[in-house]
Amino acid sequence: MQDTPKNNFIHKWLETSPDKPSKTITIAVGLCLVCAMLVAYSAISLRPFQEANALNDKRKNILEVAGIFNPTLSIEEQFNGIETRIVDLKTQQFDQTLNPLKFDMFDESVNPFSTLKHDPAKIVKKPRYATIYLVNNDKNQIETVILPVYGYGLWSTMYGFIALNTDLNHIKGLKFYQQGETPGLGAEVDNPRWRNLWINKKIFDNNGNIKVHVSKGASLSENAQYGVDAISGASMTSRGVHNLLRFWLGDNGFKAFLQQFKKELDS
Amino acid sequence: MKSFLAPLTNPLVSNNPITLQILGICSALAVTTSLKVSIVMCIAVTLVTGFSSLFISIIRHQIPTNIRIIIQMTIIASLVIIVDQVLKAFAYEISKVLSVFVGLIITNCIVMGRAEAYAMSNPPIPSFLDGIGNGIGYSIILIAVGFFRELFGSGKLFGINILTPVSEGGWYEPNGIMLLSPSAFFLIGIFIWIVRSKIKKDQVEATEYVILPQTQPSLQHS
Repeated sequence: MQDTPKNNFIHKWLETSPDKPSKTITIAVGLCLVCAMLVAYSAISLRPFQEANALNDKRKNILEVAGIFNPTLSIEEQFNGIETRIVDLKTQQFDQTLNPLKFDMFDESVNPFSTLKHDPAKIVKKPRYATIYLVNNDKNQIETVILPVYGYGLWSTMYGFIALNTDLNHIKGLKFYQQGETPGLGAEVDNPRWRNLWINKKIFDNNGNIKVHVSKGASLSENAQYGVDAISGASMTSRGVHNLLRFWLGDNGFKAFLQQFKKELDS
Repeated sequence: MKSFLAPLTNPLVSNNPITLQILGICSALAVTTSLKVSIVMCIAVTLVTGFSSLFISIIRHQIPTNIRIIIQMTIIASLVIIVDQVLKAFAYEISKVLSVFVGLIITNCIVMGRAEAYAMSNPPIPSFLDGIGNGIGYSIILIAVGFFRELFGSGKLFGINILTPVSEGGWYEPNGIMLLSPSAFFLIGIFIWIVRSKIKKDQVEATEYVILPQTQPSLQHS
């Protein structure tokens, strides 16, 4: 075979010892470039699928916590009746300036976070704005109010939603859509049997004090209407759920907003 | 034909990465609490081991000796990121369960172990088969561990009740330790014992030291 000068050059390069410094560097840079391109290509070409999955998963969880999820219908269709709103946790009012459909409350570039001094839910920083969801019924009346809640369990931050009745004092459902607790123990926060215990529990007493709790033997105590039994074998995770609910429904969380919004709903 | 497929079949029992090479134990502990997750992990590890061995073997004459580990790592890490991205796009539920463990395939000793021990000095096709074979050998153990842990730890297989637990109105009291990592150690230990005492007696290692009897008489309690 007649070698053209170019082939000859490649051939010669392949023959040189890879331990020659110049070749070592060329190989390292070349390999990094190739790998970077492959990784970037897969990440970018698959991103639309991933984003659709993440959005669908979140919406499915919202529908489930409201207790209206129907697996036979498409998630998008079912989500039509749900209104997305933004609450300003500083003023405890609805925010009108941000676009709720585009807003991501965990994106620190659009949502200013402030460091917490008292931090029972162990989240370190609190967001200024929170996305909430209002479920409307056929007559266009609000049926369910869904708030985001999150906090630290034993191993991980547990992200979830809590659904409230229109009296904003009775729980309709509690569900975590992202957690990394011990499978079989702490991860039982996902168990439908435990989740069902939350239905119809009261949050505040008549004086507006927060009473909702998770504790051992809660269902047998005199405060059973406010309490849910802790999961056996998962004390730390249960305590985490207790703390995050107390935080998000308390003075630092949505409490004042809920009182305000209740007046609005009642009138 | 037999020798051609040897790199694929050897790692299944006689040179199994977990029971003989004792590699990849860490992820065998972490992801085996349920069978479904174990199987997805197995597929991911098998693919990554196979293809990383293939690519490393193709460029093995061009890899500078001084930075060979880094080159291997770069290839393995890129493959793992691609697997992670594909899972997130097409198997979202499972990728949520596996979470960080997919990323930790990079640190799975089997992948680098095979790259360094086999792919660096063998042609591409046998290296690929060796990678796949080791992945399957790993999978056999992982699936067996996952089977026992899910069955006895939560009374289920693939999330379906087999032994209905007491908490759901059945009779079975789930064995909590099966859900914690140490149980995988016990199970893998039992597997190694079975393999060495019944199937492959030649895997028993020669005793390096003889333990002498106690030289001091034990203290008498009066």
